[in-house]
Amino acid sequence: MADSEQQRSWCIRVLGVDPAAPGAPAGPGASVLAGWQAAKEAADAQLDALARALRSRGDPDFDQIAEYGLFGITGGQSTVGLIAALRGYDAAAPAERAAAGAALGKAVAAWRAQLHASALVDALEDNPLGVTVDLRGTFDAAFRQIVATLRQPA
Amino acid sequence: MSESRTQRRKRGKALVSPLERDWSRVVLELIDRSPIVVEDEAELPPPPPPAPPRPPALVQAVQARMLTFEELTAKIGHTPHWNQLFGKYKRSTDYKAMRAEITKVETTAAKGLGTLGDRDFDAMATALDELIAAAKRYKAAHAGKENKVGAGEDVLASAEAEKLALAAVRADPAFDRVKDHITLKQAIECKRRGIAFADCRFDLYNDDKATAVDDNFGAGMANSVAKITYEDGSELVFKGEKISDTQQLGIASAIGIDGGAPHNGNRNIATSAIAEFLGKPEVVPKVCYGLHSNPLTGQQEIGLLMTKGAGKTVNYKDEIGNNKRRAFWEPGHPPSDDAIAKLGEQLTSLDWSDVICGQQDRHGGNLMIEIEGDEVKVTGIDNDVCFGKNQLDPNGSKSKISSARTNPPGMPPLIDKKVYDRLVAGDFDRDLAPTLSGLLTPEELAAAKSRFDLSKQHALGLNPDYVVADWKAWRSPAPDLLTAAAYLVAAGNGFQQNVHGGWEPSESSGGLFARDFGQALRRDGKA
Amino acid sequence: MSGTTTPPGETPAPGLPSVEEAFLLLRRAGLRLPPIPRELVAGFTRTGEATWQSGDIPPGDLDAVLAAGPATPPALGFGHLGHGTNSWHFVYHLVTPSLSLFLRIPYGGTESSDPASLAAVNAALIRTEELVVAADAQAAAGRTLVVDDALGQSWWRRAGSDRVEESENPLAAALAA
Repeated sequence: MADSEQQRSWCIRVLGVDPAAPGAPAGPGASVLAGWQAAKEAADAQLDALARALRSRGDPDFDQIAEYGLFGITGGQSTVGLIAALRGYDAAAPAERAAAGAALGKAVAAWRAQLHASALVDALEDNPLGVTVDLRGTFDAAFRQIVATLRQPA
Repeated sequence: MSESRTQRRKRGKALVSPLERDWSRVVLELIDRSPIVVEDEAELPPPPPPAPPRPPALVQAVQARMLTFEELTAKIGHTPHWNQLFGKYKRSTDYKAMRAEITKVETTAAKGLGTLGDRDFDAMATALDELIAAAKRYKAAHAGKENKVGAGEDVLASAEAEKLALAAVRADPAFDRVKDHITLKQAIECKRRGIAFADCRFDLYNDDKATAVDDNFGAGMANSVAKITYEDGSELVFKGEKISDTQQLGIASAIGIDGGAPHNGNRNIATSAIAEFLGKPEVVPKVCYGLHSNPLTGQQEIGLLMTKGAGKTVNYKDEIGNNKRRAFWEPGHPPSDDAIAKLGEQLTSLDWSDVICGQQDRHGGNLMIEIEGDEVKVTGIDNDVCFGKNQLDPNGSKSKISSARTNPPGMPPLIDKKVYDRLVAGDFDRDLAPTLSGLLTPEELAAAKSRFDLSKQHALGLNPDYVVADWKAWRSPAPDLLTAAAYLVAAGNGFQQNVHGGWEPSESSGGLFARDFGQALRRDGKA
Repeated sequence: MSGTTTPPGETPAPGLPSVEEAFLLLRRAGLRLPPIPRELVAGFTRTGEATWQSGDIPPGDLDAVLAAGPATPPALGFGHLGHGTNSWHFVYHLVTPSLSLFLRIPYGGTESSDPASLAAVNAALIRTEELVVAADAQAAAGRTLVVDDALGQSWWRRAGSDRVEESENPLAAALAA
């Protein structure tokens, strides 16, 4: 958790995440990649539910969305940089943690900005099939944990 | 991801609301330009091999004459682009006039079959009637507009087929067997495929009961076969059952199989019934219908589940493109006499089953063999191209029906004693018609009866000298005194030498045994 | 070529857009685009889930290929066809004034979904490119006929000859002659 209001402001401004918001911080040494993966699994489960609802309709447009439009959001090449940064942070020696943390912070900020700017995510979260999809909430909770981890003393 | 499988699902039968349709259009457009949805190169298989180094003159000649893989690769690259693969087929036509009725039908169809009462079925029938009427009105209102008339026809044909299927669902005597495991929509889908509920084991074979699934057990551009292990320990092969087959084999249409309603699963079940009747159920897979989710669409499909044949197929093509008949043993090390005897018994019994079924597709890729010590397992797989209504003769002029002759010609020259006893004591109307009538059309049933009776006559003609009680000890009549293996091989492999010294198809043979093992057995002094 | 997108709301045009589509779909399956003689590009179109053709002979129709006479117009077809679990093949045919070729190679079935099966198809398609050129060189003698059929026999007949030669690899045999 941020140890000062200044740090909290920095997190909100730079990373777009409020570390003071609900979400338990990971303990020292916790894997940030594992935190991301847990969020991704939760998001994928939501998308899977949406995909099933789409496919159950037997409509080719819905099928195309289910097949192409969903899981690329949590996978695909744009996520590669984020995952590399998460791995890099987990693997970093104590002396390299600060640099790895900075790189991870940038990657999180970039990925999160894309997520929040995406009209596609808007549309999926606002789907008319009645399936609950909350990608931003799901990932933001994980990012809060990650940011809290970054702010903890080594 | 596979474009071929999504693109093949042409629009035209969508059951979606206007709001949902608008939403899907927006999402599809967003996907096209979304920066965070990108093609994952890692999912592509390795690139096909390039052409080998060629002399410059040949390279030039090939380039001048043909459009090739290399030229397209240079121009396009390897990765499909979204805008190349979307929007190539007609978008859904506006179903505004029919949507209310479609929604009503869909709502009822989504309910569990077991939850429905007579009133629900009546409501469904009424909803389908209203949909049929709306589709007719829609067609009439848009006369002259090809797309819209076509769309109306799609809905009309579908609704009419569903109405017939609905009646069949209600009338099926084995309704109780499936009612707690499928929706009304799935029940209707069964009936549109000619499936009797008695042949379904949705209780045992659904994805909730699966412990392991290999969805790529067989996979190509237009085919997908899954291997599924179930809680009861059975390992089965699943193939989704199609309603129609618009690109059926020429031989299938030649023998009278309706491409609009091929009912291939039923043909496999009927084949199993014949093999069982002959006392040799093991020579073809055990089959029934089950449920499995298509990994590409997420939709639960009805399909045929088959036991997996043991061993390997007889024919294969090696990596450099040579057609090969598989060597089931090393030269000079033939199987034991017991194994050869069993091979003869099982292959000849499969021959008998095939002639009664009117099987036309027993090529070397549809015959699996396992030989381990003295034990042999023969399995004839993919029993789709059989029970044609046009084929009254079990001998079926196999060499004349198609240039691609896949079965050994002629009637089997030997018969296993057990098969003989069952066949000559059998009566088609009494023993087989009750089972087959639920699987075949009346015309197909009549043709099967003809083949059965003629096969029986042929069997009677083989008695007593060519009825084999012991495949190891049997010898042909004096003076030849050939073993069963030697006798079958001597009967020929389906080809004969012509006057020019070449080979041409013959009209008789020693069946699958001679075709697929004659050469190797002769080489090793066993025939 | 990459700019040949068909606008939404229209069916694909024959010719290059269909060639491009075939190339991409085959490529995703690990298959080479089969050779398409340039005179057959204009009429090239998709005819089924995974089939394409140019001319009057549908993919997989061996009898029509064998029946092709001197007056038969050039024809091409290829794709993935079959039924059941293992009865699946990659088919290709080409009829030109100098060559009648029919291929039906196991692919995409339960026993033919391995790299070796893909390799066999690709090897045949590479050889086909060379055979087209070789057959053209023999055009004055007549039409070379090659049939490599997993459902039937594999044989070939050189241009101007009546003699059918069986071979476990008729494409290679015809090229070597």
